[in-house]
Amino acid sequence: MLIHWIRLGLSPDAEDEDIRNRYLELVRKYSPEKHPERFKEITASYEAIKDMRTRLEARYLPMKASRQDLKTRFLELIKAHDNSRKRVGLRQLLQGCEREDTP
Amino acid sequence: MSKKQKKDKKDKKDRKSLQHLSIEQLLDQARNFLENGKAREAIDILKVAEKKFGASDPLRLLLFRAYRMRERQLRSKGMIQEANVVRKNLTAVLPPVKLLSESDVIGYLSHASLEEAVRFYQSLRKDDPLCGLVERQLAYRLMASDDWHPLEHLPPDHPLRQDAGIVRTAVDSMNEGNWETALQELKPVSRRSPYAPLRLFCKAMTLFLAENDDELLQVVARMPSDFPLNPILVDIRNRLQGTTPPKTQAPAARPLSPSAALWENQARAEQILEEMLRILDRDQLRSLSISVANFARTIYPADPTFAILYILETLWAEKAIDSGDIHDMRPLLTAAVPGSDLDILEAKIHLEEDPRLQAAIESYCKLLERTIPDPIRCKRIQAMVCMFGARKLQEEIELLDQYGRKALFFIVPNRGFTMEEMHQHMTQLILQSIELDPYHRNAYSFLLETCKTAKANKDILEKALLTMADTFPDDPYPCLELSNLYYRKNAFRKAEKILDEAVRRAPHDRRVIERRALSFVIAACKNFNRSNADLVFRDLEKAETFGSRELAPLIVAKRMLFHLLNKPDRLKDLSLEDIPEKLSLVDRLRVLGLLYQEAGERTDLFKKKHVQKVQKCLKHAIEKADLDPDAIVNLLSPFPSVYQPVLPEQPIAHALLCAHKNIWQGFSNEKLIDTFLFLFHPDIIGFLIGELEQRLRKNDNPQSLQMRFFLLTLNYMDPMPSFRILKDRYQDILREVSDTDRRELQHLARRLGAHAKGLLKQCLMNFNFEPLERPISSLFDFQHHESLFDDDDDDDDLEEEDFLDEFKDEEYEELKKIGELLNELRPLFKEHADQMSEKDRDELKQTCECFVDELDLNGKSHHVILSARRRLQENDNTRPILESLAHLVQVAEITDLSREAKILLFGSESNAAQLKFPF
Repeated sequence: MLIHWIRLGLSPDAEDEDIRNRYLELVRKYSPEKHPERFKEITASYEAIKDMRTRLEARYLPMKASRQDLKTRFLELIKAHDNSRKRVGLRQLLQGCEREDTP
Repeated sequence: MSKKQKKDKKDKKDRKSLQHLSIEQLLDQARNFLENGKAREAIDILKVAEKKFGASDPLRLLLFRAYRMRERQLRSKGMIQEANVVRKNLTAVLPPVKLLSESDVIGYLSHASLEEAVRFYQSLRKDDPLCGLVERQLAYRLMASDDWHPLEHLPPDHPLRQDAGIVRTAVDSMNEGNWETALQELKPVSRRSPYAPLRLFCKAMTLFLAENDDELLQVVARMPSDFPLNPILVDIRNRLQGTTPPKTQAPAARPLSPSAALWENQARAEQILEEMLRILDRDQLRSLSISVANFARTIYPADPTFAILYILETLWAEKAIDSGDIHDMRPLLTAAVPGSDLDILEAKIHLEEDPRLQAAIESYCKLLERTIPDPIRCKRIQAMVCMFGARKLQEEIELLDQYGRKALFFIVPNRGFTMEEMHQHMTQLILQSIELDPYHRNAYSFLLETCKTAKANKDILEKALLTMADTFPDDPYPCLELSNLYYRKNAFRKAEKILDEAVRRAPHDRRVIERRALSFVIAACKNFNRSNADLVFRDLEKAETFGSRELAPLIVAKRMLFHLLNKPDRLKDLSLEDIPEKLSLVDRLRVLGLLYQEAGERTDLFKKKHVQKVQKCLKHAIEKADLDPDAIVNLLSPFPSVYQPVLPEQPIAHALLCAHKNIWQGFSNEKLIDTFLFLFHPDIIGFLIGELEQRLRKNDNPQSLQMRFFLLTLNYMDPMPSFRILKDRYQDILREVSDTDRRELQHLARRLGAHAKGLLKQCLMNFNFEPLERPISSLFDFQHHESLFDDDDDDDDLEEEDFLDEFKDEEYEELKKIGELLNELRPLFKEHADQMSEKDRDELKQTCECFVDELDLNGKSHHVILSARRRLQENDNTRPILESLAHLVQVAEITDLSREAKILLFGSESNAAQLKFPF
């Protein structure tokens, strides 16, 4: 369940309306023509949490074991992020490029 | 001779050989070395050439490039001092500018001091084509160093000096990450200015932060490739154009990408994950708590508490930690997670693990009352908890049905219930759930699904469906289900009334219309039995007014039947022509079939010879119709199950197959198998077996293996087992199949499994027929004979006392003794481990595999095997056996066990690989 919240960039207390608005916002940003994979992931996540009962079940009922191994499961959480962009200064960017200065 | 001496000797020899080469040959060799990245060798050769032939322009250029390459190599290795020494040599051999290419200049200037760079620039003629490039490089260097003094050497009207003031201010903004301001500040800089790429970069960064990726990609395409920050933009472009986020390898294996600083920290999250998994292996709860919290904060800063709970639950669900570990971690996590959230986590785990399900549900519901302030939300969750318990019980009932009573030992917890009590508990939980949250539709569907069979549940169902009808005032579904229930209870008036309500709720719903029309047919039948002849035909007319196509043949058949029942002698003149032509040919044949069935079931009214005449008439009509296979499938298709109250006992296919046995002539073997699967009904198995046997007698049968398999399964399904003569065995058929055929058979088995029950169903679904064909007589078999056609009602007959008798019998005692014996033998095995022969090891391995076989765990999921393992561990009699076997396997160092055996004995395959004793 956490993966869906991460993917949509929402807090677990978000209500139906917040979820829908965020989904529409992301769909506008990641259109199916330009970002087909991301669009699919976002839609799958929206479908998974749009129903209030499903959200409550996932939160308050015991989790079932999955077929994935533990590491893959957690790596998916990391990769689910919306690649949020960070504001970085010139100096830090130059340092990054110096590291890349290879023959 | 030492290595050094050997090397010196070789070098001397090489140098000597170089003395004989011409200058061209030496330069060629140096070029070759440079192309292969061997800067040192190239420098050596070029020095020899310089000494022998003097310095020429081509030689100086090559030497310059060789020194440049060496400098880069040393810098990349972090040997800065050595690189600076090479730099001096590089400056000393700097060739005339006219010989230098653009890349030479960029390479030279990239690590030159600003003074050197300015001197180099001043050495250029004003019209030199390299001027623009060098000016840009100087601009970049000035920006990177933020040291503007060298500009004093340039005239005041020089483009680099003119815009310097603006750029200095903008660089300050850029250093603060304020790219938008920097872009505004750089606005006066012209496109021809050496600082122009810097303005373009500011624009790119502004677009990047505004997430305007389309324009950003256009800007990236316009960026000069020599701009030092260009790799960042290229990396951003690659990320944006890639379909998925970039794959991050192990951080140690790959340096961070140039734009890594611009994205939220994925690499760091992966490092933390690696660390957490390492700690998990070491069983250090304190470090694990810190690491879990750290990872949670990294992946989900929006709500780290939620993430911590999720991670802990995942670790528990995947058996990486157990409930005890979570309990022990509580005090370590209190700073990060509120106690109430940890209480809920523990309650969830108890709900899954505690054999006292009812107690676990009650305590969880009480906890929810305390922790969730909103009463509606709280009740909703409590309803879910009750439904969870009900579903769990249902799963256990199914497992008991599938595995027999030994499942109570190994697969499901022994809750001390009889099957009937389990059903009752389950029903109570569903009702409790409905009471708490009447708006939860799934609860009603689940109740309908599970309570349909038991007679005692009809009142419960009625009550629940009435609640549902009140809760969802526009939904016809509860009304339709209620009408079915009322018909089952022979409450006709109530059924009609509730169907009227359904019509009111959904007047255009096809299901509702059809059901209401059917209710009139049912009423007509009832009135006929009560001898209300005038009402009978009125009801049928009413049914007709709904215009249901599916129901039409049934209405016509009933009308004709009621006429015939008044004048039974007319049956002898019945023919296809008597059936109204408004119906299709197939429907008319179905009407004739129905009349034949009805007449056959009322031999008190109709004469046998008249019935036989109808049968002949039906046969001729089918023959004359000359139907294609698809039409025959339509003809034989069963009526919808809701029509059952007004249909003859047997399916219509039975009547038609009685009348015309050669109906399958036009069917290919492949089509025949599909049709049989579609039409399957226990009452027509005899006909299907007959046709298959007849076809198998022919030798040229491409589907013979599938047909043999089908036939054998039908023989097992035949409700008349006394006539069962098995000419084949599954094992024999499977031995003959190729890999492709095997897959097809497996598919067929699954489809057949949908119609089977009990052990046969299990075998078909698992595609393993050993349990069916080789009776198991072993330590763990409680001589329980699983009937192939057991249904739930039969299971309900099992009484608690039967179970208790089973648990206390001699075999149970035997289990205990074996466990004790194995326990005693353990030290002995350890002592003599080195004396164990290969044969002993093989025997021990076979014992373990037999143990898995006897528990029916082959091919089972990880979860089922772990559940079995848990049950074995919980039972005082079986635990020693499990422990001893694991211990012996460890002592004997047997690692090549099956997957199932590894999980059963060691808890996981990785534990088994390390022979980690798990107890």
